[in-house]
Amino acid sequence: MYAILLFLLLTSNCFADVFVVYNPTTKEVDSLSSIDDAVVPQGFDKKVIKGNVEDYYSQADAKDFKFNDNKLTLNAKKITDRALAKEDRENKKSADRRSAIDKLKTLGLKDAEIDALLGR
Amino acid sequence: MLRIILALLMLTGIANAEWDANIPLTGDNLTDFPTDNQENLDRLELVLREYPKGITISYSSASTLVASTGGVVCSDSGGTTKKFRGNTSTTNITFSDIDTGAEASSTTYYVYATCDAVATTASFKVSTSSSAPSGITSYKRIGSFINDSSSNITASSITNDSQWIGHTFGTASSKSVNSAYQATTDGIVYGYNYCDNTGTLTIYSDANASPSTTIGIAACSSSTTSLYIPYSYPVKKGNYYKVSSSGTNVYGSSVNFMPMGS
Repeated sequence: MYAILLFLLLTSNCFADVFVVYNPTTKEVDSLSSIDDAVVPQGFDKKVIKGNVEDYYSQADAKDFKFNDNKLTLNAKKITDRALAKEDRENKKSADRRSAIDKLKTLGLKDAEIDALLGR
Repeated sequence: MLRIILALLMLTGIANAEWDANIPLTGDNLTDFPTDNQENLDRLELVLREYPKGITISYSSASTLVASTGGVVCSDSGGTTKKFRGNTSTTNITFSDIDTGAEASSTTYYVYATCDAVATTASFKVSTSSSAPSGITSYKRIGSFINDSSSNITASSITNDSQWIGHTFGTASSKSVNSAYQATTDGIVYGYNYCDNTGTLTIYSDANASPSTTIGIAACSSSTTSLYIPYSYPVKKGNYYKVSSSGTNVYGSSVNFMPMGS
């Protein structure tokens, strides 16, 4: 009896609904929700699958998933591309800062003055 | 003959269960006064026996609500006539009780107890009007719900007007950036913007499925790097909300909706 109750307790989330709004052509997900409250954009479809929506959001945003054969899978390329783009922007920003510091030094500014100007 | 007429008037008065604020009447004599007074007491009894519980609505199925037992005081639009009703058994409410027109999807409906019929119990109407059901003289709004895009009653959207005070927050759930949602209850949309430079989240909410009214902004400034900017804004039940990101400097963000529960 206790084993059954424990099983039901552990698996109760599996019986919740996840409302998936996705593009049927690209399979890219637009929205995940635990209730039927999402607006379905034109050209998109809505499907209901079993699961806990918070399990997906704990991994990534809804738009980082693909919906194939009634299953949600992470779009690893999209996540990697975004991380690389962020890294590129941060590297460029650091390079611009170093360049600015060098130029300011040639103008005769001291380190403290450059820090005051650019911020640390 | 006079007694028969008087008896008929008394019965009609009780059956109508209409409170008469003018009792005792100026023309009452020692015989009329206790009779008139008793009529009002009988009407009052209908409500008092059910109090402190008013009639409330709850979910039964995708197409049916249940009105509980309880008391209700209906009124006309001018508030001049009060009618008391005491329901001692539950009543199913469906879209056959709609006041006018046909059932519509993605619509907020209001539930009214109605007291036009000569009875000691209230009937019910479903209406898109938040102020008065069409074709009804004596009524009391008792709650509301959302009929979703599939024309199913959304259980979590059911609100009882009389139980608003004392409501607590329900369970928050995650939503997606750049997608629109309809609030099934009053609630708070909240989250954070993980951004730098001009990375901006704009929070929109209004009655349109593609909301365009800005209710808030969570933005980084040009000199900031990888900051978390929190936001939280109230959203009205039935309205749509959307959190949109702009620029390439939003690296990650969260959207959550915390409903008002019961």
